[in-house]
Amino acid sequence: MKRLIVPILLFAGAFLSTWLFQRYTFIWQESDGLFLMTGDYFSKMFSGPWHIAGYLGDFLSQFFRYSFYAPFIVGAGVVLAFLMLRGILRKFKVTADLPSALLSCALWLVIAFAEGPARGTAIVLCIFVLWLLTRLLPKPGRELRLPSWLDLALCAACAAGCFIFIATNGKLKGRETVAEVRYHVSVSDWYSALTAATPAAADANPGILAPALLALGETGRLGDRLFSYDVRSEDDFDMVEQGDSYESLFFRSFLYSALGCPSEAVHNLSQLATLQPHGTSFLVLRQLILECFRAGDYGLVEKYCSVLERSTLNKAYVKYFREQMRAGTPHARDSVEFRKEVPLITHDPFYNLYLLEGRSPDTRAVQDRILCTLLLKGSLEGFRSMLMSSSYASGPLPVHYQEALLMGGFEHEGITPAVRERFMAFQTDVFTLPAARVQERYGGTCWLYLLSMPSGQP
Amino acid sequence: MTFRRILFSAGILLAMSCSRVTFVPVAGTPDIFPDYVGVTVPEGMAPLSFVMADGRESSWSCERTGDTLFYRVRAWRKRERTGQEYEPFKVYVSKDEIDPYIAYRLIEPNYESWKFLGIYSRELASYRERPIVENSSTGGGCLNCHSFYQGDPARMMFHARGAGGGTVFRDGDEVHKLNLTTIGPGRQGVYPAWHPSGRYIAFSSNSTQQSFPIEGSQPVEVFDHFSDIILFDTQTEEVSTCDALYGDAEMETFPAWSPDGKTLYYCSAPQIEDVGANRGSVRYSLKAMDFDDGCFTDEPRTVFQSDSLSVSFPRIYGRWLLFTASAYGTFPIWHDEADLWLMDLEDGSVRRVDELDSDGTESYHSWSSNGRWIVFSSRRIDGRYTRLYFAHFDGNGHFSKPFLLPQKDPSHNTLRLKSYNVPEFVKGDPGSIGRQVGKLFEP
Repeated sequence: MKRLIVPILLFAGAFLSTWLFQRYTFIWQESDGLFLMTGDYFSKMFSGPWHIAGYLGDFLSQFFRYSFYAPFIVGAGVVLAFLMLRGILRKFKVTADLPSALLSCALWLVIAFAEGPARGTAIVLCIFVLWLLTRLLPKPGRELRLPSWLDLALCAACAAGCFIFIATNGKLKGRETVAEVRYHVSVSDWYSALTAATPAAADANPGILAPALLALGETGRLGDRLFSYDVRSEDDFDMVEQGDSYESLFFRSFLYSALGCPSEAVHNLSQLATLQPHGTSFLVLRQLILECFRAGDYGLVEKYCSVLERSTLNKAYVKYFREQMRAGTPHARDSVEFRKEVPLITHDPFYNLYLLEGRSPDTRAVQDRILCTLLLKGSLEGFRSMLMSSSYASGPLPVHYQEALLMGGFEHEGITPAVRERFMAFQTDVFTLPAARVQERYGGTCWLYLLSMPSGQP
Repeated sequence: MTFRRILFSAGILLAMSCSRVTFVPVAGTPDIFPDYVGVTVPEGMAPLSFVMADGRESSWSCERTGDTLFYRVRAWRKRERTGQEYEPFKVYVSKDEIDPYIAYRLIEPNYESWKFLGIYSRELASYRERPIVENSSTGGGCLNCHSFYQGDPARMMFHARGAGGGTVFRDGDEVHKLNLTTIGPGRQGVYPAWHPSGRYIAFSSNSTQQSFPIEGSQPVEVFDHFSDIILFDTQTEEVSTCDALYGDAEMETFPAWSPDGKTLYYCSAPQIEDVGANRGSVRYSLKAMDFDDGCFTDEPRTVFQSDSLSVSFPRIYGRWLLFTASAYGTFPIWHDEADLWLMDLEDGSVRRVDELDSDGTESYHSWSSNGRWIVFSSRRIDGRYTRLYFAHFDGNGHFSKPFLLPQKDPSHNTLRLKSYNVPEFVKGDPGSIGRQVGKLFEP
């Protein structure tokens, strides 16, 4: 029983730390990873830098899609390493629990901080090879003894230290938050995305600000909560300045997907694929299937399904879309006349929104983005003009829209007395109260954003 | 003894499982993927490999009688006891030789960027594919527009884009790089055409933009803002221009030499304002200009012009000029309606090559060195990923039914997430020049 205490402690520690603090990090490793039972994939992996470790790591990372498996695999890997290390060291020492536990904890940290599964797998494989080699050595003459209680206490302290380090490490926390937001965005779970991407979290991880604002838009809260986030310009809204980075391509693919523009979603997904280690990933393949299905391009859906079904755990996903295709009808190809005239997407997302308005199945979401972009640009006249031609021309208005209209001196039936009163107070307070008090009292309003614009007063 | 028993039992089980399916003869030929029914293949081509298009299990046998192969196919569903045995279908074997290799670029059809791309050779007698050069040798930049001088594997060129990029020339074991933008008019080369003498290369120089339609089935539109044709002299390494092929009035592109080298064919469209918005009205015609002793002579003349077609990629063998025609524009690979057309330069007749046509795009094409085969790219399988098809040419203006480049495993055609670009026949094994090219791009 005493021999089992350290492995149990290590397994429990690694399992719980992964489950509690790195669940989405590992789910995202699956999304960004790929494993296919094809000759091309096999030969590419074996000619790559990680060889068999990369291949085996990618195989294991498929299971990370389900949140229970990653903690189990990490825990099992750490324990396996411990047992093998103990076996190796016992050839040379009477007791080897403490040094083995220390090395296993180091492996646990390596796995926790690694960007992918290859490194951890490579270390376990190296230990395995060493273990096999030491099997060739003669058995030690000395009698093996069980670890002392002091050794066990030190091992437990070591495991607890690792657990606490992972639980409190800022880098890992940030990575987990980003992965959680990305995961929820990728499954269009906008409410969960907002729960993870709080204004404070977006401050700490700027990469999730645009997805958070997208989630606000998709939940119909953009006009009410836009300025509760620390938005500094329209670029925070559309990530143009980030160019073709992973974050911006990921964001834009899901933005255009949400706005009902599958061709542009596929464009950005395809660009995203080129940044993936294998030139594509499970996330990209699954999303391509979805977008091509929405676009009625069944030929491509079938192709991507054929590729994805060569993995281990995506067969149900593939089966679902094949059934959907059997029940549906592919879209006809566009006529030449249509293709000649259809507008082209530009590098200006604001202009693209105008192109999408009226074409998107969710015109309100597009209008919200246009209106909010105008606010972020400080164009109150343009904002009012757009508002009056949108579905907000009459009826109730989101809070920020009311604030903007008051700031611009415009009237609208949707402006509530409460906002009107607050604006009157603001007009006085902004000149009489210290800046900190104004910030405290009116933080999260459109007014402070407009006043702080570098170009001066709107 | 026990092992023998197990082996015996396994044999009995195997025999029982095999004998379970009984095959019923059915009329007609099987629906197979790739569709090799009734195609004409060259002698010595890699064996054709196929599966049932509807996913059923299948087995087949092949017998040869004279110049005809007879494929007898049996198909069945798993766990069903009755299968179908189809009438044998024919594959004709032509005695006309085909060049032993083709070269092509493999790239994700992913719009603006890429990760892994390269120029590869494929031996047609086998399934062996090898890289000639990959972008890992050039710092990850784009490689494009490879061209072999009359199919000579030892003499080729391609462009390497990006930092430190240029046009890479291979002549035997010597590989060198030249940045065309630093000489002559300072324009980069794009689509090449090697003069039959081997001395000159005509390049188009294009300012190309990709754009993305906001809705509809066409994923990408590509157009040129302007383009011209420049002439590179490989002996003096100088670039020259000709007023008729260089200027603001016309957009000239896709040069191609006549076999005697005395005429340059090219595509040309009037320069217009805002090409992107007005792309539907841009139609390229086929023009020609005489060439003698390193100089263009005479004025350009129009060889073919249509109000409903835009011409690209003219490729000539003897009196036959094969080109791609789309409804408008200059980049037919993204146009579903793009097809191959054949022009008889002797009598000027033009026809769409219906025997090569499909619902998908047919685009880049190349003649074999004896003019009896063509290879062309088509998106007929899934509408996005370009694959290579071959067809036999009878020398009288007719092609046989095209067949897909054979792969050892037919599912490779589906599983490969790359497009085949710019297929060219090559007369021998080009080998690999990755190491030499890598040295050119060392910092």
